[in-house]
Amino acid sequence: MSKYVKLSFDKGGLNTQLAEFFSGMLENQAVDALMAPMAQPKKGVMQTLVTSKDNLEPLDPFAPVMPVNSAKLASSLTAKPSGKRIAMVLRSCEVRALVELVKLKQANLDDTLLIGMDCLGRYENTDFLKFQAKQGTSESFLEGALNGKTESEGFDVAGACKICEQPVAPNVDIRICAIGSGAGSLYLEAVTEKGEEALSKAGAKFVDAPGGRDDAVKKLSAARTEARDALFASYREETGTFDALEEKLAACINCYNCRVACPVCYCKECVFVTDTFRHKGEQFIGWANSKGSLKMPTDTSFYHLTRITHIAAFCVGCGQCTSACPNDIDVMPIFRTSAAKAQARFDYEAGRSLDEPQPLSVFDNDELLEVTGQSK
Amino acid sequence: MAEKKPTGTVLVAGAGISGIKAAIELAETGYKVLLTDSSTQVGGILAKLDYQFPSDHCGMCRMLPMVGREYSSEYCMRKSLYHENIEILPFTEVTGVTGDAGKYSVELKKKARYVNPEVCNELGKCIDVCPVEVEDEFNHGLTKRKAIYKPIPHNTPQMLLIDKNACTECGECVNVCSTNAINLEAEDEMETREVNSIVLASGVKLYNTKDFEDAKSYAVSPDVVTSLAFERMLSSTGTYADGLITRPSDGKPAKKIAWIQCMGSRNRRQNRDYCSSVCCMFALKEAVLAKEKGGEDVETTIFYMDMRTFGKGFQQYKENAVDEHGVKLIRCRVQEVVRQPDGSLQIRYFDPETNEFFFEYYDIVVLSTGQIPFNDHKNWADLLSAELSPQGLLATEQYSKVKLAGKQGIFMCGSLMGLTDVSEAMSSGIAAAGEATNFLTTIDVERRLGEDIPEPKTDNRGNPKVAVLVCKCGNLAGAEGLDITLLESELNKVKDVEAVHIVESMCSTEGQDEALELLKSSGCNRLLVGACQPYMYRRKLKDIARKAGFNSSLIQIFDFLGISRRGIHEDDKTSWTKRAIHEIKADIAMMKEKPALSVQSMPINENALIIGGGIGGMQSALSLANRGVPVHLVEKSGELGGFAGNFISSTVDGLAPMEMAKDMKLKVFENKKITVHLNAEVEKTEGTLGSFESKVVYNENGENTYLHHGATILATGGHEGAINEYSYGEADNIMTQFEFKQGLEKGDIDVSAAEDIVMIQCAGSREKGKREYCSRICCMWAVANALKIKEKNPDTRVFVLYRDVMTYGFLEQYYTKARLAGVIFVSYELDSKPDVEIVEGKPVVKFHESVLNAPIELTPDYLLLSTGVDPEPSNTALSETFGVDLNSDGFFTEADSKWRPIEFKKMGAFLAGVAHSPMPLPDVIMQSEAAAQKAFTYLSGGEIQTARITSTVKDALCVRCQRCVTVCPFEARSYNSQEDRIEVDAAACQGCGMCGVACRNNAAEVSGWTDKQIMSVIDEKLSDDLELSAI
Amino acid sequence: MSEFEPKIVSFFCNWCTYTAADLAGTSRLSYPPNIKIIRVMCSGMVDPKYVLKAFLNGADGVLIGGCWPGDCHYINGNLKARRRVALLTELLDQYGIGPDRLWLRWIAASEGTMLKEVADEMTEKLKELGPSPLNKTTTKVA
Repeated sequence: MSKYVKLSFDKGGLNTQLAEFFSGMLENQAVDALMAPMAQPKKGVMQTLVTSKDNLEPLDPFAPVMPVNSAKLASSLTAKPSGKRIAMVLRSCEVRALVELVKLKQANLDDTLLIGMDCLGRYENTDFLKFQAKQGTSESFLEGALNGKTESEGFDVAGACKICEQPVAPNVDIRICAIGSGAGSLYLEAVTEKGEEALSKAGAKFVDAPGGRDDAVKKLSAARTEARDALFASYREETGTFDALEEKLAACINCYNCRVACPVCYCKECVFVTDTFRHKGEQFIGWANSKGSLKMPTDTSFYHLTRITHIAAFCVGCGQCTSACPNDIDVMPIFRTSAAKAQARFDYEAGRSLDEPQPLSVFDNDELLEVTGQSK
Repeated sequence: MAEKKPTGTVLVAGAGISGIKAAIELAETGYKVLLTDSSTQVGGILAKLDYQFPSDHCGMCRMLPMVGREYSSEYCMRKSLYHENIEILPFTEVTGVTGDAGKYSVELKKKARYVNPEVCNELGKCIDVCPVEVEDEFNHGLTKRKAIYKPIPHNTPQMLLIDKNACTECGECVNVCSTNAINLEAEDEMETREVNSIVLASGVKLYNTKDFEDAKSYAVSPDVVTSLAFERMLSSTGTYADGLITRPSDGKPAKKIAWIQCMGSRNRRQNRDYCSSVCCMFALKEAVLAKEKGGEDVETTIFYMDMRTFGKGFQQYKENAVDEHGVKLIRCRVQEVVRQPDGSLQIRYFDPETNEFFFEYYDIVVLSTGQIPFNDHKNWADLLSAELSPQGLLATEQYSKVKLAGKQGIFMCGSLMGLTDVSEAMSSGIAAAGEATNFLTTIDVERRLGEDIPEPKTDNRGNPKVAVLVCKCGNLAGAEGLDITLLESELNKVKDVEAVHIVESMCSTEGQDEALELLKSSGCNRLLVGACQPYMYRRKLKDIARKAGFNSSLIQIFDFLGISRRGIHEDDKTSWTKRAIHEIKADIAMMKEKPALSVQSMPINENALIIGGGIGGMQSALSLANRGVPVHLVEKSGELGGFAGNFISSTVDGLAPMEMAKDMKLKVFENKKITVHLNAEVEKTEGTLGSFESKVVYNENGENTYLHHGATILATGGHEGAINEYSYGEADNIMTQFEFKQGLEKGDIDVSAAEDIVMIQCAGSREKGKREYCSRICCMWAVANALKIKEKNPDTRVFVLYRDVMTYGFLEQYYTKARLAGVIFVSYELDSKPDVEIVEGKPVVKFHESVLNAPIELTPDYLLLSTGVDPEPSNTALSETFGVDLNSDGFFTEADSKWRPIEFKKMGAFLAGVAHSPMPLPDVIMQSEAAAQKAFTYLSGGEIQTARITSTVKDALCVRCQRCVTVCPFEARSYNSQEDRIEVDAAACQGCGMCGVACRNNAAEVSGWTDKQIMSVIDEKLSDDLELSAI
Repeated sequence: MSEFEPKIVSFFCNWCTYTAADLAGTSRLSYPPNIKIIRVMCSGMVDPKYVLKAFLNGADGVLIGGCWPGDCHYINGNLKARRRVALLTELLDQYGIGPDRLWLRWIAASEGTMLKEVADEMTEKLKELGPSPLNKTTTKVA
């Protein structure tokens, strides 16, 4: 049964309260280091790793921005164990991606303390700078978002966030609960024993669970789910044909940014930049011949479709792919809709559990009989 | 160390699966084999079986070499078999044998086929014009064939021949044959060959309803078929079609099918006092398949005397057949089958359950026909002047199932020993091969397997330059043949094809010299040869190409008579040519992207480690040591011999295990090559085939030592099972069969006054939650003790309460003997187990006597329990240590229950004897012999050469996600945590490419099957209009 | 106008299905030339890339032939193939390359007849469906 700690704050006190709490954790050696979003000297907010309580001042986890999906950072921090215990403040989609990376042996949670913060969405990086320029703060964002208002003049949270049905992070040790916590207060939820121990070390006083939280969370995810299904439907409608897909991808130039940004595309080097796809002149000519004409660079659709087969089972819908596209192709829906179908087919959900084996790594004699439709 | 090249030739007479296995085993070790078969093709009975129990699948190809893939065929064995060291002579009989151990000269009669396979172009026009129709023996007369015919539908080459008995010599076929392949005057050819050793694998004749009086009352309709014929009714190359099993008489779908067991077998009056061992499982399998393939509404009933499911996994199979598939079993000897006016088949049977007679009607009745006395044995005995046993079987050395008595260097395997299932055929084949190698030698040379021409170094980065060589010999050119001109001009257009040569005939030496010259001058680095029947002279072409400086992995042989010909009308010359051109272009595309691959040499530590110093372990040790292999024999107790060797003085079939063990111990300790480690256990082991390191700990002083070995054999044995049933322990005259036997021998037990003795079989066995398997030997123990008792006191009444008497094979005679001696056998079912209670310190046994149909209550002088065999508890730890599997019963799990019974999935580890499953001593010894041979295959050469096509790791691309490790079906991939990289055991890797797909970015790839290659083939396939427009 | 001839790239497992294809031929069961056979060692060797590549280069259908579950020479390659095909079907379906264009079938060495039936059936089906949306140049019959 989860235990809760209440953090109340006056206007402008959100981050100080959180910083105070985290400094407690570092001071009492609940952990040796903390990775959390912090304000950068001039502008922007980035994940930042600190080992001393004295450097927590710029802490700002709720800043509505996610420059990268931190699952990749967590991977580089933990794949080869540092021997230090590291706390990480992550959003739901970051945790879920991290879970998949653990199964792919790209990360290791032994010495980590996962702290999942309620996520009400993030702005695209450029929009966030506008938001900051307009004196937008985490508090102001939270206040609005919790009342269903995330839109600011001319921009809104990322498309992926609008259809994210999981604002609350699964598989964490501690949750920072904003949803349903009431104005001017946050709750810290100890989800695991590890988490409870850390909170106690930080000198926390446990209180009753926030009354309205469960309903508030349900309500929000319900709304998001609705939005998601609506988007899936309309998207499947408009990409019902292959030409439609090619049209969506028309501007693709094979920069591979989407796979670099993707938290679960974990190859060192994508197969599409290996020798396998270094073609000879004669081959191009051949294709031009047989197809009538050949769009260059080639293999753009091939690349995206292959990428789907690679990540469909792991995709957590964080939308970094869309954010990363230099030609503003909204690729997120391509991957998410396919992923949704694939994960449903294998009764698998990326990030849901560390114990579920990933599809295509297991198989069984008597499954999927409909694929061949044959009986002996 | 200097590598050894094995020399010597073995004649394997009989190309059924056991013969094939023996041949492959010898060939893989590096010896030459002459593989003959008197029938028209290879494969024996298995060629007719699409499915094998207990898997209900086919896995024949799993018997092909795993390390030596390079030198053998890699395709379905129903097509044919190829190995560079095996010369296959089908339709050939052994007519004479002279000489002695180590040097025999054998006289072979190559029976005339009347069709020369080397010239035949397989268009089959001869078959069309042949006016004669006769029953096709491949389908047991269910279908017809012509007098000129293909013996087996799958065969490639098709090996046509003429059935001279049916042939009317009308000559139509000769007229229509464009390649003069047919010669009606052809005669048998005699040939004499020198061999060093002989393996007899000629199989067994099966009971045939036509030839036997006692079949008359059954074989009353075409719808009464033999079990082998029924296999053909389940096969698409037989009469199975549209998901229906049909009645031979009228082609109507069969919905009720009955099996009658023991046809011809277990019949003393007919002088066939034996069990044919496999028929019970055979019938169960057919009954299950009948439902799977004919529809679940098909009713299947088996009438049996005892369900002899004694083999590993057989008991579970039976339960599954009954519980899951609803196969009905009725214990009853059916006397006759009566054909009804409507064609249905009436069976009258007695139901022991209800004690009444019933009539049932069936569409098909299958007679489970077993083996028949033993002409082959007689013939061999005459030919070899070998002795015959009283039963008319070739006499074998005591304890050995494969060694002919008094005949040095001659062995037998497979069903010639008495009908065997697949796994025993495999074990015996391997064992016989092993024995044979004792009569062969090795000499130090540079290279094994006759790779005499060194592999040229071809720069695989250099741009591909392809030379194409087309053989237009008789069967390709000519009126119906290829359009060579079109072929040449089209191929010349292909990019990177530098030269297209047309050679008159690749089969002739002139042709081959011509080819060599052309190639030398071509300046190419890749070669495609278009010819026919590539395997027939694959080796020759390899050599030519190498002499001309081509790497053998960059040579492709294209079969003009293969797939490119399929589906095209035989007169459509142009289409055939165009298809060929297209296929060749695809092959070239594949080859252009292919790097030069060479075989890897892996050094092999020549030591063998054997766990378990029982009779099995000692047998393996001696067998290896006698062939010069150093052996470490590790036994956890302080004494060699194991259970049988230390406690069993005699068996009913006249063996004396203790005596034998005593003699073996002596030999073991005398043998310089064998190091015995007593009171020792292996604590951990690391490494792969050829280089293992194991830590051995000595229990007494806790000291330890590290052993280095190339292979491991687990021969852990077992012991009599414990029992907590039937009031065991509550009265001192309740004891196990073993305790009673001991008492009797020591004289502690005196039966001279005993009135009644009751034995309960399957005590704590073949029952859910207990020993769920048949222990195979308990029935023999009971029979042995029963006979002993009767011998000492004929008046003692001996009751054996049994479920199924598992006296399979020639053990049946002892069961008969016991019955004749007056031992009373009473069957019981699981739901009506005998009841035992203690009254005044004495056991009172209650059971139901089915013949009298009356309850019986006895207060026996002794109550004996047959408690079965338990595996060694240490198996659990060992399975951890060696990374091998255990089954739910605690016995080790072999790589494949049928086709690789002696190997573990883990390369270089083998199992033998009771470690595998409970079995009688001669089988233990046979398996141990086989395990030794498996190890010898790898240890004997000093090094092994892995196949060219194996999986690779591109370390720079690899992220260590280990998905490839997870999906590898052969445990060939592993993650080395010390060095943080993925490693491939090139010997274990079979090149299946699973890792390549699991890996996202081709860090794992199979050399020779890369994405780049296959994708360019896809391009080639799609860029083709040639072919379509042609048809 | 001339009838549309679908191109069916067919990956046949070396052990079972390829043997069946050979058997069909030697038994003179002619199957349509639309089936363009590529021999692979195992159906489990067929990378999703191959299937996509085939479609992107204008194949109207892709047929994968493997051993029945339990028969696989490599023990379970065919089971892996089945999962991948399930995944691909979900994917292709969404982009208008209907599931009817990608077939996986178990065809044992002896099942030459079934091979012919599958080949005929699939060719017919694809003739009904017409050219794949990616097949920009449908083949004409001369």
